Amino acid sequence: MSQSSGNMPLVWFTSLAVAGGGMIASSAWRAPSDLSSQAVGLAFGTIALCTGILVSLSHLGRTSRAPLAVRGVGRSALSHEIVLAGATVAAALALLATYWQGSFSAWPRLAVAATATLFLLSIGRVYHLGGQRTWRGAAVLMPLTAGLACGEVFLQAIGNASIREDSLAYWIVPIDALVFTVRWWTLARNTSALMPQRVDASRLHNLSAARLLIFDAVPLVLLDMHVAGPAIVAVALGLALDRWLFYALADQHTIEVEIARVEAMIERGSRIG
Amino acid sequence: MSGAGFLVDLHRCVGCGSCVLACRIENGRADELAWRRVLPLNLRRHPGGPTYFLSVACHHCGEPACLRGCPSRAYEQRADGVVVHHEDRCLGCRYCEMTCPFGTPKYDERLGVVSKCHLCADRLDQGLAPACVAACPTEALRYQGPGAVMGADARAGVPGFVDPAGCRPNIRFAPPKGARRVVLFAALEKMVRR
Repeated sequence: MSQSSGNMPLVWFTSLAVAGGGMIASSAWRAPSDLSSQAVGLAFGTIALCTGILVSLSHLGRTSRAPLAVRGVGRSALSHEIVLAGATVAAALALLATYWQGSFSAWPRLAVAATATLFLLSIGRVYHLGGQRTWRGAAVLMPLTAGLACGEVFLQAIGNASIREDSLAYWIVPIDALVFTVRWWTLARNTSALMPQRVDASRLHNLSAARLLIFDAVPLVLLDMHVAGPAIVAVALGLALDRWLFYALADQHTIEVEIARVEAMIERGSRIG
Repeated sequence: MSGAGFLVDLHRCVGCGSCVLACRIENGRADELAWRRVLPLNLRRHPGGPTYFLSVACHHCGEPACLRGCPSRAYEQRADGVVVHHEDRCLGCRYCEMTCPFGTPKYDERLGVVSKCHLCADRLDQGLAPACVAACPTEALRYQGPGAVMGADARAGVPGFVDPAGCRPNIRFAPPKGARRVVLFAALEKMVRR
């Protein structure tokens, strides 16, 4: 699982982007009952997303050409992600600017929510690639469910309401756990076919179990016990682990990999002909 | 094949690597950043066993995943199907490395951009064959123009080469000849299909 080392800027970018987008989406989707929590969620989400965008620049070989990344709109999933990231930040800032009016208007709030949700979906779409079999299926939904789970846990942690009274976290977090479990199960079932070069199936199980525990189980238990700070820390750590694991499990198809697969088949099948 | 591309004759290719060297010299590529590579597949997995060689570079796909994914439109498909990469528009985001299911684009850490085979488009425009094709001593590597009609035995996929992403690569393979190799090759194809 060494493939993540070269992708660390992407691990940090997607962690911050998923967290930021999730906080903005969760804050904006909420009915305007707790204005200050919504505003804090929007502000922290915007800061996280902006930090993520800045971190992503360090991944580029030619940072000065970053503005060219929008030229692929209409064709490239990566361009769509970048444009939606910018639109989410702009929309969240515009909504925050109306905070002093005493309430967020319904339509602008819903527009921000929809943009942030689309942004989370677009992150998954970027990695839905024909040559990357381990990134398909449930993996495409993971940024959306993880982002919304992250946002709900954060809002619950900073709000005053008890999690048992009124919390979407009770719904979103189990959905995220389900999506992740489906991906884990798919990978575990097809490890030899999807990742023939890998022999670290036990690490896959240990790290996946750790991710499920840290990101989904621990925060809910802590929030139930009214321990807000550690719940946010657990979600942050779990999300970073989630994204690291995502890149670590990349299995890029190349002709070299295909030849290695055929040679492994010859080895297993002993002699041919 | 819809666009321009290559035909690799697995019977004629002896794995000498002349095509790799010619490509490197023509395009000034360092060894680790070479656009073309020759990959051996040993059918018996023992030294001296029957082996065939896949000489591969960019396949100038009919549906290029690199072109579809590139956020800065650094890739362009010419009328003859040749997929060229404009390094002056490249961000160095390396997304094409992820999208290409053949491992074709090569990232140059020093320049911070990606590059790949352009099928010697400038040579083609002058009526010359690509450098790799011109250098092949056994004529195993051949250039095929757009709409070229292949022999009946030319294959789009062989063991060790598949198109998992529906990119429609413009490369064809002529299978090995000779009774023993034909039997081995057929057995291997059957095994891979299973």
